[in-house]
Amino acid sequence: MTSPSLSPVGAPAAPAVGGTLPPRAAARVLAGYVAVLTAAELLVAISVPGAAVTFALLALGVCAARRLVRDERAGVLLPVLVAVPTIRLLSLAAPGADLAPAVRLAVLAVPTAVAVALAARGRPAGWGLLERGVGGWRVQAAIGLVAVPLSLPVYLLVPAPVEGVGLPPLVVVMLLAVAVVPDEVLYRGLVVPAMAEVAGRAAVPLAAATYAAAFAGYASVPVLAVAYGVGYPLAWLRHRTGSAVGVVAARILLVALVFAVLPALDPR
Amino acid sequence: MTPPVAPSMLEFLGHGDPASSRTAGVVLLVTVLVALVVRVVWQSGEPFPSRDGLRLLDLVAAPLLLVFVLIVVERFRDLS
Repeated sequence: MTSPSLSPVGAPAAPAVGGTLPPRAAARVLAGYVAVLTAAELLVAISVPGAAVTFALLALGVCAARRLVRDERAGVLLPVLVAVPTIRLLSLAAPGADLAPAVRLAVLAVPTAVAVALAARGRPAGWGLLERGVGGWRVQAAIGLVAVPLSLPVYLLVPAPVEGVGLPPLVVVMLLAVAVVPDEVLYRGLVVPAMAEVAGRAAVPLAAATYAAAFAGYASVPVLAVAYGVGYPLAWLRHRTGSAVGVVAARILLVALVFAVLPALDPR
Repeated sequence: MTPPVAPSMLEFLGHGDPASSRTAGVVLLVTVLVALVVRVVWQSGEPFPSRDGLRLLDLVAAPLLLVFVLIVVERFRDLS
């Protein structure tokens, strides 16, 4: 029995036709989008209202762009591009400075899940999201194990101070495991195939850059490098296999390793 | 903080600045209003409004409206 070959999923099925952007031009437009996202994240450290306005303008601007863009592929790309700044805006405005972490998680996770579900609505059948994907469940399980090598640089370069949270590490891990699911479905499950529809091969680095942009607010090169280094292989694996199951599992495992397992093993 | 999760999901662990959150809440409310008004204008202005365009505005308005409701609930909770 031969194992099925892994082929990119979500790549443009047909060459660009009249009125559609060629992949390189589309990649440049998406790079501009990532640049605005990064600028908004950097603003969070200086002025939260300024950042909130930038996220709002970006989300509304992408909505307005739908009226101008004739390209049919925009119908599947733009919802994803709207979801990212919308989620950032709601996370800045969500109440709960005095709420318990678990309640605040619900306050953030439920609207985030709604935004991700709305962005996923109407996606093309070929994208795959929580299906078996190319290679089946065994491949997805193997992808989940990618978290093991990824966790070491994450832990060593950007240690996670869970003590300051005031909760047992295991509880933090459980909360984060719930939190990363909509996050991963958005950044890998939807962003990667959406960008692949228009930008072809540039989709993986662009999706990784979109994810890394979310960390620009830390204003730290190691954090950005680690975020890109985590995002790139996960985006590539999601692109090649046509399923987000493995990368969601990898993110949950990554959280468990970085927040609970590695600190327990660390002799420092 | 650490990159296994994006700040959007990690912020629940920290205790944000209530004043900043309040100002961002005003931005959120204005955004919801703009999205809803534009939706009505698009719907009323054309016999066959673009479904994609309306879906995008729903995507902005629905989760933000949910957060706005939560903000209102929290304000009432503070008053009581």
